Amino acid sequence: MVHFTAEEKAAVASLWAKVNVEVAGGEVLGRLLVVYPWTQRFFDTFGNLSSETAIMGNPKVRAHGKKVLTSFGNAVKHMDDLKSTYSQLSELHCDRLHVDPENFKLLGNMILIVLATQFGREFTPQMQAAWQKLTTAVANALAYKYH
Amino acid sequence: MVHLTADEKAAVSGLWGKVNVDEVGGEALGRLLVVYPWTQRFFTSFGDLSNAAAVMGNSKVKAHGKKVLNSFGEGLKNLDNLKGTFASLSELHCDKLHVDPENFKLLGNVLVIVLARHFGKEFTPQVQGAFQKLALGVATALAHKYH
Repeated sequence: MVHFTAEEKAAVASLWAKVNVEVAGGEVLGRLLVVYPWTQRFFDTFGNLSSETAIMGNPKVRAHGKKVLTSFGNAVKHMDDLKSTYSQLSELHCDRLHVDPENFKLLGNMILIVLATQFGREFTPQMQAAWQKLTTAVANALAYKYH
Repeated sequence: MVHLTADEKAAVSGLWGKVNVDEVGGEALGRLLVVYPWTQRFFTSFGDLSNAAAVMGNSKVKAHGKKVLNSFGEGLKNLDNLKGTFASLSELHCDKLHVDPENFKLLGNVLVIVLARHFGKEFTPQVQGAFQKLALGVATALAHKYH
């Protein structure tokens, strides 16, 4: 189990409260698809992903990004219990979606980058450290049920 | 050898022209030491690294960060020959400094986050993609002479 200090939990929650999940979600998923193009293989029903503009403007990318980041919001509420929070999603990603768990770390990196672009000065080193810990822990929780 | 398209090269050079290398270098190295605390083991002669404020304000961290980022800038001028450019630094990091090459990827990630923080919206998915490619190329080049 990952141990978050009280300060880390407070830092994560305070930034999360200011995140526009819909906008940030689309941005996070879009950037994943642009920067790591092989990830597009999981989204071949999403239509036009042929260029950065197409990806960032794609309504299915935005909708799914929102869904993914909303789920991440669950992590923020259950930082002490990530493995069980993500237990079913972990099984889904393994058994149905066949996603290499390495990709969860890549998505985590995208979340940090989008937060950095959006929050600038407020994204202090301590804030970055707390969020890095959280995204790594979520990635591990999502990989936990893999077999 | 890293293959950047003409657009990617232009994107990276365009952004790099606006980077305050002294400042960004110190920030990137500082954040590495805060977010991934085990990296402090390579800098035991740097004095006070006991908390985030101490790390970010440490003059040796700033000076060394500047040195590291200037070296990164050299990579940018030699995109077609990163392995040659970083050959002696690679040997140094292996034979003298004993740095696990995994840490080069971590520094690359931190650098991308610092640039995202500084440039906000200007750090578009395309620019991010180009920079990540470059950072990975440099990390690979630095690992190349390891044995």
